[in-house]
Amino acid sequence: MKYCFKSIGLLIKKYPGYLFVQIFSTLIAIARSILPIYVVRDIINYYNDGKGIKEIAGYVLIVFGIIAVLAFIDYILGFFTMNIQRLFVGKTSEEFYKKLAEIDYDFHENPAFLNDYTRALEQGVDNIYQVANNSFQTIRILVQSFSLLSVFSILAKDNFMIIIFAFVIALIYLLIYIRIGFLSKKQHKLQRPFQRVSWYSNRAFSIRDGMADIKTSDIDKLLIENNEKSLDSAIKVYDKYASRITAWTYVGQIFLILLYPAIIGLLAYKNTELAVFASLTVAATNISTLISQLATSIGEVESVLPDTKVPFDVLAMHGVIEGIKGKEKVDSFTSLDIENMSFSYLGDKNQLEDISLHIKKGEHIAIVGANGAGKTTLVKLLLRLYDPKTGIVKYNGKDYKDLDLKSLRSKVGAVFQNVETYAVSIAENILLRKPETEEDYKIIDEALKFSGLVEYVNSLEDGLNTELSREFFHQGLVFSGGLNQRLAIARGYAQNYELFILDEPSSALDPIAETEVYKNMLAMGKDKTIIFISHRLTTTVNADKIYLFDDGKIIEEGTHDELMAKDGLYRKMFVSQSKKYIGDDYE
Amino acid sequence: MNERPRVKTSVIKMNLYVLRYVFKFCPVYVVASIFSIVASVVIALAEVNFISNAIDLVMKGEDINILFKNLIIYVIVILVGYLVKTIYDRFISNRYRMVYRKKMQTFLFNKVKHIDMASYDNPEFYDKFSRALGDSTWRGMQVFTTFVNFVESISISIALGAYVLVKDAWLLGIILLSAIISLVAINVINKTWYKVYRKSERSRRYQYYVRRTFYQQKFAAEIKTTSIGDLLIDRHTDAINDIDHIYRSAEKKLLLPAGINIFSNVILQNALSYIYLGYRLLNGMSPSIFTATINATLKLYNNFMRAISIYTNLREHSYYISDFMWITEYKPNIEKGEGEVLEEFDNLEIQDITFKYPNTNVNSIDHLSMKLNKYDKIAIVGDNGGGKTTLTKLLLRFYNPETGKILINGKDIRTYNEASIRAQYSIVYQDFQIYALSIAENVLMRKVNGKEDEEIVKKALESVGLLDKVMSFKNGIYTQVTREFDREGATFSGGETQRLVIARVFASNANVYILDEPTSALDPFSEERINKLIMQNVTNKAMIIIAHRLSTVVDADKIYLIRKGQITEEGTHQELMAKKGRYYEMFTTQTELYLKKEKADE
Repeated sequence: MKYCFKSIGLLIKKYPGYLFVQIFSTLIAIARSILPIYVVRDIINYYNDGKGIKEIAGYVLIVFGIIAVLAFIDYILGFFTMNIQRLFVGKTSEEFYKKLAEIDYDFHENPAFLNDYTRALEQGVDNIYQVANNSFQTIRILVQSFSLLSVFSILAKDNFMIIIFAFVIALIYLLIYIRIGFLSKKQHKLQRPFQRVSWYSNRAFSIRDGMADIKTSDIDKLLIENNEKSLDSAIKVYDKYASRITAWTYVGQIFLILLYPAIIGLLAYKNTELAVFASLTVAATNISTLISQLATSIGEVESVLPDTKVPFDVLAMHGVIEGIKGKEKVDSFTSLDIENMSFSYLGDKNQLEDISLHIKKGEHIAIVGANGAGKTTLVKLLLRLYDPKTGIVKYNGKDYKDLDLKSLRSKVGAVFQNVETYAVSIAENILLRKPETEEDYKIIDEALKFSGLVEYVNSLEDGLNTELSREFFHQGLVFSGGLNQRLAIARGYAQNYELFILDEPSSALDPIAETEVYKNMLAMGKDKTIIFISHRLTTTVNADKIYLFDDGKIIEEGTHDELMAKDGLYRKMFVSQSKKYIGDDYE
Repeated sequence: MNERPRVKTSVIKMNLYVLRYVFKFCPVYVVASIFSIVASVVIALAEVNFISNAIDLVMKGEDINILFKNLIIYVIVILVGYLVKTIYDRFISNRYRMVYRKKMQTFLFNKVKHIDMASYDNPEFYDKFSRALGDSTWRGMQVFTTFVNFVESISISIALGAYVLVKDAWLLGIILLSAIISLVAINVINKTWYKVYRKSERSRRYQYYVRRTFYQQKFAAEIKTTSIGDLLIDRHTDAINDIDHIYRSAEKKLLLPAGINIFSNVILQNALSYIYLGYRLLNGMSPSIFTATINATLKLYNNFMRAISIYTNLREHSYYISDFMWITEYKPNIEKGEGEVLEEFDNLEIQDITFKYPNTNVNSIDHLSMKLNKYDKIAIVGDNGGGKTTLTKLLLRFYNPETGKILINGKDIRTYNEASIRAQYSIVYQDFQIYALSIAENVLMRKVNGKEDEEIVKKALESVGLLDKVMSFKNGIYTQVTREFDREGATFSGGETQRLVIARVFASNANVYILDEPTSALDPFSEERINKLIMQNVTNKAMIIIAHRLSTVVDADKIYLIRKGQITEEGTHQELMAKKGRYYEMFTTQTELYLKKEKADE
């Protein structure tokens, strides 16, 4: 219920006009359902009073003229509602996205959390609107039903039995629907996991990269069998609950159906006049329609309501790291110091343990180690996506936590291991914003040269403006692995970071391209401080300092020569990688 | 792809086409629908008839017992009628929707295997295909429901129409006239909405794209650390404005037809019926018939409109059905499942093949020839985009070469059943996929049958060095991969995932292994281990290995260097090094990376 009001509150706060539209259309709806009730009675009364066709026609035309005008106004109000819905969902989504960008990174990485939240979040704003709108609809139908019941009572005058009967039926029907709502909630909850399998199957069979597996192995049979089994289970759940729901629905129907004959029976018994009788039958029809609408409307609110909790929770969330204005903007990079830093993901064992390292402006640092040694976790800490559990990270001697996050991230930045492209133009994919000035285009051009993409991009018909998606743009392009990686490097370059982190930047590049990119990096000179992160030791030979990570700890550090002299793990790794190239006997 | 069906027959034909599958998948449902329609007609007639009868009886002051007799019959008819309707609407409909979904998914998934790889390279096809895969699982039932509604409304209209006709033919005329006017207006309205829908489609999809991006974990870090989030929100705002503009300009155009529709509906139909019946009342129509006829008229009009509006629904359906039809009527060039079954691989020969992808101008493979004997280990090296991966796709017969031939055991592979060719290979793809199934199933790529399979899986996992990790899970090799469906599911790092995929090869009993960049994400120790395993332990298999890192290929029996779709160098490592060509250059470049040298900028 709480989220019902919250949803309504949010909608009204943003679009107060919505409230007026709703009040207006409620009034119109009442008028439209009550007016016809009187028409039949009045015609018969005119007839009984011996009036002519002119009077009847005049009366009918006036009443229906009013109804027509109201219907037209209602239609236009429908436009207002529609426009408000679209804008509300659109604009609120944007706020939501901004909020998502400002919640801490661990929210995105916590799988247990994500499983429950992702779907609810994806539909979040739609659900908020849905709940608000359906609540209004429910209120409208309630008001409408109430007015109709009043009219009904006035018409029925002394037939208290009928009035009581109508009210009792309405009440019973509602109670039954509460029961039904409860059952279908349970049913959906139980069916959901099976439905997710069905969605997954659709995805698995439409991923382009999965086609080769489907053609060359029996994985398709396995997936199909899983899907069928899962849907069979869903049907079993359905059978159990839907049969009960059906039974309840039927009981409700019976009551509603009995409204009619009961009125007629009672009238016959009481000998009421025909005009009133005619009106009452029309009113009864309208009431029964409204009651079943009411049940549906409440059911709709109930079915979405649970999903509105999550988006509101998220809106109320505050990051410990993100979205907090730091006190101090950062200056040009001079040094980075990590002191005795340890880190663990929620409840896990330490991913990084007692790490200390020091980087000065202009240095080229290599961080190496096996898969899972904690290299990528370190990147996340350097970007302050996480805070360390113990220890401290300092930029120019100042604790990360005291610095303004946005300005910190404009100086310290990374090219990530998993390269993502966006459905925007190549230029925008590199700059990550709209290029506006000459200066912007100059940077893009340099970045393209730097990553070796310039010739390729120039050969494209739309050049820099080529959109990187075929989903929305017919002329669009989709990059392959090697091109993607070059794009990412160009992106990193264009961001003009002063401390530039490259996380496995060359895994998809061929050897010549790889070397070329490294040469360019090294040529960036002393303005840039670079951290190479790699499990390949090709970046290490010329690095100013190498840190070897193993199981979350720094186990060796020094220059290449120092580490080779040490005869430790680094040497072993280096030999294992290089012996095919330069033979077993290094030195 | 923007060809929309314009001719009426084609719209109806398409809808009938998809109905076939409803009949095939859910015959029980079809029979049940007939009962439901009959029940609806009976209910409608009973209601109208009962009111007029009851009023008559009351007016005439007949014995109350007769009225009650009528009442009881009415109640029984209605109760039975509603019982049928409720069971149908509330239980049967949705149940068979699920059955249909299940059968349709299986039907379509089985089709997927028989779609040529070349079709997936066409973005339009891909668009259609993924749309159809989602939509088709329920569209057929929707079409069927539309038809059922149509038959139901028409039946009720005919029944009530007959009733009204008996009372007064003019009244029927009034209803028909206003129905036609409304129909024209509604048609204009629907067309306008349809246009709005089409025009705003791209912007709407872009909105969904932005939404998807913000909710996915893989984008989160970049969104937080760069300005890409703002850019996407800007684009999102553009999309909102675009849609808003489209809607608002359509709304203005809608006012006139909407006005006409309301006028015809309220004034022509409602008011005129009342006036006309009022006139009849003055001229001697009994009040009971007056009331009953008004009641019947309202019902008739509503049903009639409902029946008539079916065409709009069918047209909307047809747009989606065309995608579905396209898939069901798809005629593969390659994936036909015909031809001789290839029993046992002995040798492979590629004779001067040329190939280019559809919609491109450059040959990806250009006059290339190559040989592979039963236990050969060959390596293919070269630049990004040189044609290495394309070559493997041709070997698997995902595509046919344009010229030249690929022979297995001396026979053109086009004469073999394509599935039997692929059964000879086990492949590690560059863009490998893992599935939300158990670890064992991910390795075997099929169901696990008994202890023997378990052993195979364990052995394969052990050889890639993953067994310890897997056995540390509570459910061992039966642990689910990914946490999508199972909270306790296993998650693997990039390198571990790659090793899991390599285990597939060792678990298969194929005769030829194709390994496309199998160690790109592996750390040096794992890489060395896998290389050793491949080169030394695998003795009774043929192997094709593709690699950027030349250390992987040094021990191959033969190395092919491919550039721009052609083999430019071939031989053993020693031969190629001696040649001092491109291979030598590549190898030394990589070697240099391991040698300390003077920095470029110093």
